[in-house]
Amino acid sequence: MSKKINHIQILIVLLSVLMTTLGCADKVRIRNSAGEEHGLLVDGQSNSGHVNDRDRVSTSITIDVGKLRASSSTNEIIAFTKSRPVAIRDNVNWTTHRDIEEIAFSDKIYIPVTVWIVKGPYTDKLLKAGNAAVYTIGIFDAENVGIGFSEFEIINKTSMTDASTYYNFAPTADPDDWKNNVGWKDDRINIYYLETVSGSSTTGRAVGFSNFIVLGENFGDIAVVHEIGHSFSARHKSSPDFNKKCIMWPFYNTSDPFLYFSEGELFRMHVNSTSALNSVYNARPGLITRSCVGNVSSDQCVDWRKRLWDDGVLLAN
Amino acid sequence: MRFSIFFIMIVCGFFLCRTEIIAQPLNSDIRAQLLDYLTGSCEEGEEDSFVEFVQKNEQAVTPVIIKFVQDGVPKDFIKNLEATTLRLYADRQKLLNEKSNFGLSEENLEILKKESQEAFTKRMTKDFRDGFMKQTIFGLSLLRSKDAQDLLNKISTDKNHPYQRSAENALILLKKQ
Repeated sequence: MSKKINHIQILIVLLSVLMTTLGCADKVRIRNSAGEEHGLLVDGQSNSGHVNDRDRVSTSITIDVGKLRASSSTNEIIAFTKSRPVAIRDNVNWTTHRDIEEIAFSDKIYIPVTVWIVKGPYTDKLLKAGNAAVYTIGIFDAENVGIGFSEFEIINKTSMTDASTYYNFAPTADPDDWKNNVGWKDDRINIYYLETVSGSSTTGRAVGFSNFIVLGENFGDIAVVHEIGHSFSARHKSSPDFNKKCIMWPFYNTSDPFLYFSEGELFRMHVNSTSALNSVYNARPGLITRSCVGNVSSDQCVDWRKRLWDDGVLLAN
Repeated sequence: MRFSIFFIMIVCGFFLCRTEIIAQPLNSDIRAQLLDYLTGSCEEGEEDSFVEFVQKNEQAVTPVIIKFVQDGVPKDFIKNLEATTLRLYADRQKLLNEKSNFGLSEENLEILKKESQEAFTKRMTKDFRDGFMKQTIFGLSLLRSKDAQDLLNKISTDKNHPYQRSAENALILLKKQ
């Protein structure tokens, strides 16, 4: 009889322990879900030490993130979803109790872009620029970038006086010559369709990772998204962590289309203070900015290789 | 004794040659990499640029570039072009029908929507072919061999050559540097 009681007591104790460890996991609630899948990266302290970027993917609006308490390092939630910018909440007050912390996505960011067609024929270049706008939006939407174009203005400068002076952008060229003589708008990304960039008609360049982009006349329409990525502070990616389908691969092959940004790169595009989103558009006023330029990773900077979803043959990591 | 020295020299020579062969990437790899650069769009200003690639592999790419300039676009590339342009057109039309946040003016959006598949294919094929040939001629200007320089000079002075202007531009750029 007493042996039976002992077994029951042990069972009750085990169940209590199980309830305490599993039932009291902290949760993150998405405040304004659009009904799409959400991806989370969470920082805090677990029993085994500091947690940096614990990942979760779920269609639920309340997502179990495991048991966390306040860390002496970072305590934050980073969230990704379709058609919304990356959301970040820092200084999350994780406690030893069961926490339900909320995070909200901002509305999609709409930015204006101006295209200056310097070398014609104008209609051909108009169609190229139009293609570029369409393909860029296709990739932005598919890759959860959360950015659209409020305006994709195309200006014809092919008949300006001395247009041919500005056809070729040499390695040592001064962008101010194009800004002052062809045209320039301070508050946006400016794209110039020229003849060559550093001697090549298929080369493009976001000069100094800025909002000044020059393209050779045969630059791929789908590859314009790559140059815009540079304006958003994104850097080149290479194997083995990435492949040719990465938008930030150094060259684009027409028969092998671009497919993805890693979540680590998306994070940088939104939070880096040098990203045109912040430095030119001020599109995230009052929101967190950081300096995660290049391939550095830390508690503050998500690993640039981090992917929450599979990217073609490269699996989520 | 003499035979032993001769034998040792042969063995050493064999290993030296072998090391040399292994150290050089295979020509087929170089050709494939070169094609990647020539059939796509490249980035200038960071590592992995086309210029760096050509200069680093100058010996291996010289005959390939000269052949491309002389023979024109490779047949396997042309073969892929049709499928590529059809896919690109289908992708664009699908996006145009599904989405509306491109920021384009109504007028420009209409121009895009009205472009027929035939017109798109023709325009894009020309764009890709021009890109390939101009980039190849640009590559030619980076080579130091006499054959390459002679060919570049010949094209730059041939007013009937479809890429005469590209050769001329390449020479101007060379002189500036």
